[in-house]
Amino acid sequence: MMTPPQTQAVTVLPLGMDERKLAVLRMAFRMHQAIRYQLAEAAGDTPALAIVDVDNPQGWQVWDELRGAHPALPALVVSAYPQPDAPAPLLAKPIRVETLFPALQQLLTKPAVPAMPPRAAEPAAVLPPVPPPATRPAPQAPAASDAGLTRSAIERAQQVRPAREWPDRVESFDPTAGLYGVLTSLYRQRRAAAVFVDAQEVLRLYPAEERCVCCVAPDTLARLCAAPTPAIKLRALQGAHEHPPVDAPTAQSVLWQLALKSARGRMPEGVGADSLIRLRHWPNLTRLAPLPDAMRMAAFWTRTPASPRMALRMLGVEVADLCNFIAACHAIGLIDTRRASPQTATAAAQVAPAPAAAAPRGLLSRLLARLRGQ
Amino acid sequence: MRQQDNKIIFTGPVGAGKTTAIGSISEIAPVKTDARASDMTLARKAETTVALDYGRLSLEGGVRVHLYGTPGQERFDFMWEIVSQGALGLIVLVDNTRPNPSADLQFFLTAFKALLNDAPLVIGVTKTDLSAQPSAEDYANLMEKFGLRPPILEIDPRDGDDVRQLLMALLFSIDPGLEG
Repeated sequence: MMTPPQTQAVTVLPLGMDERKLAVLRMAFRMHQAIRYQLAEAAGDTPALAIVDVDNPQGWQVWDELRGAHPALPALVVSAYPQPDAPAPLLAKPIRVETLFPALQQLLTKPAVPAMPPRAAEPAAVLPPVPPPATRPAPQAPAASDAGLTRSAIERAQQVRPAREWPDRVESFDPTAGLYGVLTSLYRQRRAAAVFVDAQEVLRLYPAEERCVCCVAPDTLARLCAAPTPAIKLRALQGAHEHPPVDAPTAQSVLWQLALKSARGRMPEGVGADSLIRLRHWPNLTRLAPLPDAMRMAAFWTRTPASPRMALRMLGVEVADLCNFIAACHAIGLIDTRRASPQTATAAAQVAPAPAAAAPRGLLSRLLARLRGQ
Repeated sequence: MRQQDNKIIFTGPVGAGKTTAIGSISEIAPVKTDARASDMTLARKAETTVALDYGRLSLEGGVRVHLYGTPGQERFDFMWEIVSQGALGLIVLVDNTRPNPSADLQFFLTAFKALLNDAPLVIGVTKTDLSAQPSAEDYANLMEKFGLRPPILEIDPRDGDDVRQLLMALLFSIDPGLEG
């Protein structure tokens, strides 16, 4: 059972942002552990901070409207361009977690200006749009949104999965043993070899050519993967004639499949609920055996180091799929694992599950449903 | 009140499969603006896109997502920035049979640098059945030098499932917890 966070959430009002940018912020906030931030999603929310993207089609008008409505609200200005006359601290794009949260924390502890007036000399509501000075990039597109649209974009929150708790017990397997252990080791060492089990040739691995030839039927391979201690022998493939057929499957596709058959919903030993994991890059998922939610896990773990516990909480995937994904990525050498520090592990354990949004489906959710044929 | 620009941009060199990719998922017959190639493009295909390809996906609630394919030739690069403003994301298709596909990729990353400040990038590698190199791993190592870890997926642009995977990778790059 997780302990609820001790502090109340800090509500952040985002302005000048479309649904894509809001989704990125929402995800970042859900992952942050030290302070619980949340987007101002409903009209009644009282914001403690604001983030204003001035690269939107309305440019600085959004800022002026903010100052008209909230003269003293601490705010960050976000832009991809230098803004030497920015009236608030500037956060340069692309927004990164490493810069976003220190900037927000700075605002919370030391607001830059206690009560900033609107940028214009008169109330923004009665003024014509302020032409941008030369130092500001001019809006590059016709006005695509106004404050009302921005507001409604916030209210059309994306649908997210409910959080899941890490179970008390997760089965594990020895990643150095069996066919899985032998093949992953050969692949890492870039050693070409024929693999025999009980004197029967099972696989030929050619790491340099990124190919692997499977010499047995799929059900036989599955049975051998499930065997805890098969009698395995190797023969090096070194001769000039020892090359794979041009149409042989890729080494990664075979290793990925072999990992799924070996892990069977179990975690590789050595990877714990609080181990920090990061993927070196995305697996080539269009050419690998399907695994539920592999794409969202790939997106998550290429973005930031995070523990399996955190991934489960953020993504709401099945534990067995998560374990299979880690085993498969480990097999093809994509995983960079480090043990979490005690502080990190504690912080992760203390974070309450992110509440699932109950709002109607936003654009991104609807597009995802469309692509899935729903 | 104007509708938001719900658009996704497909870009890449001549012959990478942008027109085909849009056609394989668009719900309308794609609007193509091909003309007979008259320059170096002729070596790669007889007709090439000279303006924009356009396709469309309709979503629940009457919202539409527009799919734009840019012309691949550099002399049309003045259009790229205009068309990419406000896009949800960028899909770069790389043709593995070209002489230097890694250089092609770097070129398009630079050309769309402004969009990539805000929007996610997805890379689709085409024609890997004809040329396996560079591998997805090679492209990933190249992207790492730019500080990027985008989805890099081999695709056949004629296969709608492959192209849908590219779009889904783009959506999960924005929010891995997204549910449809």
